[in-house]
Amino acid sequence: MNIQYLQTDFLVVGGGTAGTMAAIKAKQVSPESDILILEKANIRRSGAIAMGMDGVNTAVIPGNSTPEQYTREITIANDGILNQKAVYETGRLGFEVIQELESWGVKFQKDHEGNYDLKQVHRVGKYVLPMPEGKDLKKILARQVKRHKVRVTNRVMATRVMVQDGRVIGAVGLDVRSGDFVVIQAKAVVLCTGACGRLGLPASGYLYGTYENPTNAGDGYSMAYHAGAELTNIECFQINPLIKDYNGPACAYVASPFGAYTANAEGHRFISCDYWSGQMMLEVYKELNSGKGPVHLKMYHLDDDTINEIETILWANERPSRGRFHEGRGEDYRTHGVEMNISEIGLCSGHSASGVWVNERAETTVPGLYAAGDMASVPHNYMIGAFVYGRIAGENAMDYLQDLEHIEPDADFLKAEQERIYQPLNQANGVPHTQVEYKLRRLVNDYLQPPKSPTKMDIGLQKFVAYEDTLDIMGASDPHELMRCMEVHFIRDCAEMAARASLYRKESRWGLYHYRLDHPEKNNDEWFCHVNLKKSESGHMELFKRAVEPYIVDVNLENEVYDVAVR
Amino acid sequence: MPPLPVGERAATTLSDPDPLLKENPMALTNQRVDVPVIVDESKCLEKCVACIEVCPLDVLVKNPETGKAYMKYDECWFCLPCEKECPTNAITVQIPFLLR
Ligand SMILES: Cc1cc2nc3c(=O)[nH]c(=O)nc-3n(C[C@H](O)[C@H](O)[C@H](O)COP(=O)(O)OP(=O)(O)OC[C@H]3O[C@@H](n4cnc5c(N)ncnc54)[C@H](O)[C@@H]3O)c2cc1C
Ligand code: SF4
Ligand code: SF4
Repeated sequence: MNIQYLQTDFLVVGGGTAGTMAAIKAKQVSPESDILILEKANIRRSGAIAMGMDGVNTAVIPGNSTPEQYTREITIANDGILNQKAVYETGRLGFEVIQELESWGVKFQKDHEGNYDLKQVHRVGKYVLPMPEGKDLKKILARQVKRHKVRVTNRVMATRVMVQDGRVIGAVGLDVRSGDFVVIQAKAVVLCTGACGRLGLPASGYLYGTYENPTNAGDGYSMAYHAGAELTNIECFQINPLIKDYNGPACAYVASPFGAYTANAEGHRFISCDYWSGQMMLEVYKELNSGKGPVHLKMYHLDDDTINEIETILWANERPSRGRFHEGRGEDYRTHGVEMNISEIGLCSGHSASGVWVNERAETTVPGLYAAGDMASVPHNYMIGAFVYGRIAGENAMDYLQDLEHIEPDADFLKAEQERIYQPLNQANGVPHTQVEYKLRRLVNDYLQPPKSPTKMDIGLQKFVAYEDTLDIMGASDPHELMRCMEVHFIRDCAEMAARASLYRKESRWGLYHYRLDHPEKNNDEWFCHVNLKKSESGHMELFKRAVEPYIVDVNLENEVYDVAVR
Repeated sequence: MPPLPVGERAATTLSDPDPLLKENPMALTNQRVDVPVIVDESKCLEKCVACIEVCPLDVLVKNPETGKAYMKYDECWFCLPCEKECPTNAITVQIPFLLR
């Protein structure tokens, strides 16, 4: 094993949606600075948008909606627990991001008059902007990264952020092909490693049959935690209504503007709005448990031309293997509903709200450490939010690091981290990561899948804590397997956080995401706050309440309850 | 280890057993699984690495003996970059058996 030493001004960990934008924006504001993207895969086709997107879910386009309206919509959908200032930025800057992407060649749908063709999927406003030709989004971003002369190191997985003298000084990682240990000194770091998509076990039993790109195993959640940063809303899980077994979006956001809707087995509507929320998931859960399941996305009442158009979009973008999945089962949108199921749990603020705590400047609580995208705590942020926060992080980091010097990494830290990473190689015949991960994620299903019960979660927590020792018996025989072993470490950390945060918040909120059987009601008197956690000085997981920042947009939460049930 | 043909489909082992079995023959079994990615070797170009470079899960490699690509690890998101970027259409991605 060799050691590679790298140095950069600004290190971007994860070159997906947020990461590529963070690097580009940093270069735009400071062309002389050195910017490095460290990517576990290859930025050309990595992360959630590896095969593009069907559409923008959170587009605030002047003339259609305002950042205030958007902030209000998300405040209500997220049951009031959010930093409105942070959400507001997604509304304020999203349009500029869309225009810049367009100037790079990304295509958004326009009507006959050349206006953005926005669709209503949310409860009130129109924020969904289709991108039927979105499949090469990532290639376009990779090209811009190159044009902006950002350095890229592909196939290196970050494993820890280095913090010394009260600030971030870089990160370390593993070259997943050569097996080299990589040490990167940086004056500021942004973590953009996406969701924790491998937390629960999919019902199919296939470890990689997840909604999220399974490369995103919660790496950033875990790294930020070990760096001492605060995380928040972890108990607000990501749970999605997905194509049964396939575990990808059905996708009502694309199809509902054409007249499709989510229906029960009788073909009737039971939710008034297809926008994903915990409240919606609770209705799906109730429907499935009422004998009126399974639920399905209903399109068979639409005409042939419409269905052809929907197929063209769904089978070319985002999750293009959807077409062959249906075909393999002999199912057709013209005759069959798309059977849907409740997914296993994950962590993702892009869809719900769990993430590393950030303010409206993308700063975490550790100086010099930024976070953006699905792993940063701006709720319902989706793709445009990832771009916006990538931009904010990139710009602010360049400002922050101007007068800083590099700090020499602590030798003991590096030695300990090397030992941790390479330990599975010493016991190649140890238990394979596949089995260790399978069992861990099966335990997550057994003990954390809502509805949540305190005794079950307690048992789960004890098992996740004890699993620290199980990690030590994993064996690996090549760098690829080492990568997977390190991912199991990340997943275990996330499982422990998920259990502790869910036990701590003694009320129910966010519909199914945090539905506690012992406290089935919302309790604003005691729990109108964030639950944050961090690693204490003594190395333990510490939980505490953090007040909700004062609102900048008035919302009367007593009157405006998020309710999507059809009665 | 290069994939073994199973009926018409490719298959591989969950972990490469040879070096490990020497150390501890009882610890691991060599388990056959159906893998989602099939490479038509007659079309695969020896100098090309396009699919290997784009795969987000890094599960494709070249067989050093034949110079042809194959799926070494059964860890696939059925996302299709490998198939789309192959210059000769040598790759077919199937939905993994457990989901199919
Ligand atoms: C199937 C699906 C459909 C979606 N549909 C829509 C939609 O229609 N509209 C919409 O607006 N949003 C949609 N979203 C959400 C949107 O795609 C995400 O919110 C957004 O892309 C997240 O960006 P990100 O930068 O946080 O993560 P990603 O773009 O996933 O980037 C994370 C990157 O980090 C890398 N990485 C991970 N761990 C490490 C590590 N340890 N070291 C180095 N690199 C690492 C990954 O390889 C990846 O490149 C969808 C998401 C999914 C999964
Ligand atoms: S479908 Fe995706 S994950 Fe599977 S081999 Fe191809 S690129 Fe890799
Ligand atoms: S992209 Fe196609 S031709 Fe190139 S290595 Fe892969 S299978 Fe072979």
